[in-house]
Amino acid sequence: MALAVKTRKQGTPGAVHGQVGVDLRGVGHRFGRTTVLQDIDLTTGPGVFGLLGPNGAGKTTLLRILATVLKPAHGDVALLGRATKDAHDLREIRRRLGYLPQQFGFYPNFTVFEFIEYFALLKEMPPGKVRAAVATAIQRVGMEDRARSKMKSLSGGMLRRVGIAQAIVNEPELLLLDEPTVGLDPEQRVIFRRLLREMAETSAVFVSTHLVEDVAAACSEVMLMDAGRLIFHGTAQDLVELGRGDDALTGDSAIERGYGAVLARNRERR
Amino acid sequence: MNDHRNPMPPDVTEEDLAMLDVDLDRVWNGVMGDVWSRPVGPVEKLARKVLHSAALARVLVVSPALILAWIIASAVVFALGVVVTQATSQPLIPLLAPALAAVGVAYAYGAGADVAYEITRTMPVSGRMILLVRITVVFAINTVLGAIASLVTPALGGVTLLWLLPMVAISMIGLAVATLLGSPVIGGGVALLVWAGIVMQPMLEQRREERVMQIDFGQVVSESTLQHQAPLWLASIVACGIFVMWNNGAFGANQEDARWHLR
Repeated sequence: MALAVKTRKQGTPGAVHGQVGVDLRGVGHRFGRTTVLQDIDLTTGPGVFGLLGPNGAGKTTLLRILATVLKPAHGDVALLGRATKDAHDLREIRRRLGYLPQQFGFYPNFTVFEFIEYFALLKEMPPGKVRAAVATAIQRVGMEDRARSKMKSLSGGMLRRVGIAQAIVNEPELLLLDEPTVGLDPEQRVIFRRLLREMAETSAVFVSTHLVEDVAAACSEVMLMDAGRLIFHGTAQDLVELGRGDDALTGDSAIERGYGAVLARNRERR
Repeated sequence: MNDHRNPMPPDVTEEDLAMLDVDLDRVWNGVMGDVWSRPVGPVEKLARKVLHSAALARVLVVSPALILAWIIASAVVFALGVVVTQATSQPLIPLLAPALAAVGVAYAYGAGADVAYEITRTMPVSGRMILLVRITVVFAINTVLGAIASLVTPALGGVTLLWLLPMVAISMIGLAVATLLGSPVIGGGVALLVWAGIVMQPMLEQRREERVMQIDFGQVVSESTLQHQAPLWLASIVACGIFVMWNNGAFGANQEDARWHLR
């Protein structure tokens, strides 16, 4: 099977699958002289999209562009059916966005509830709905018993769950999670995958992870990045198929062998 | 993580709930939200009306908690300033106030200063408005602490509160550098160096010309000196203010093309 990278260059960025999803055209970025992202074309609707790739592949940079933290050096970005060039549209996008960065900073003296409530207000949710929304988010990540605990008293896994809660508190239509399962125990990861699938019914969820099994279990589509390029976009099963029949490939699971196969073939081309 | 609720009382059936036509999840979460949250205080209620934004009102009321270490440090330094001023008749309060405010402002908001800055940058609320609110909080706290220190120090005489203008100017210089370099440490450091240079410069000149070792801080913060320097301070405030706004994208494209900004 050939490497499958979906591209869509025609048309105007913005009209995307009934307003839910992303539309990237020729997106690239560089830090100084180092190119970290190049020629990314990507169109999605709702679903869970797993971002895989080695360190330095460009996953975090891509997520930061989708989160409107970084403005790409090249290309056009449309999120949730809106171009990101206009301040009014950008504000509207951000109201409907949820983001958990890789480096998750928190205010140590806030309680869990206060921390999530703070970001719910910054997301400009109606004040009258904030408390119930925060309680719902806390419940969805299973932190009810720590709702009034100080952030500084939480373990790494609990902090990650609070980070997920602040990301989903506004029921975002575009949810971006960078390494969300770091620190979660196996039981929490299973429940987290279920949460992802729930969110994907109405949202586009992008998950960057090194844990290939998370992608296989929860993601409707898989994207594999290497050296700033999107080198594979398909289903987890597509990725598994690419690893079949090559005994030289390493990996504990079929999808890991597929991951290795795509990376190896891409590097041979380069 | 949970995907279930506490069980209902055994005598309540699904049919009963359906007849009530009540979204129990919503009701339950509303109750829990009320239980877990703190009531909105009078200051926040007033701020919501004044700022027309529940988000900025919350930024305002939580800012002191985010800079608590700075507030405590400022209070201690001002208290020491009062003691030293009483003992030596040297006007330390006007010298300390700009330096303390500059450090507080440099750490108010931005990369390296706000631990949740990465998330905050994805919020619809403008980062510039958050910065503005936090600077206001820093100035307000510094002004209150400085005013108390000045009022309980009779030795200051006519220079009481004359430090407000240099305080704002030095703070804006620190903020401009912190914004440019993305480092509150460097921004605060540069502000302190600038203020130290201004404080030291007349003394060095005096020492060079008159060959005397007497230190007179009063000369630096005298009424005539501050009035003489007022245009320079005002120009610095305006220039640094424009730079900070420009660097945050207030006037369209800027050099820091790595960010999106909101008006």
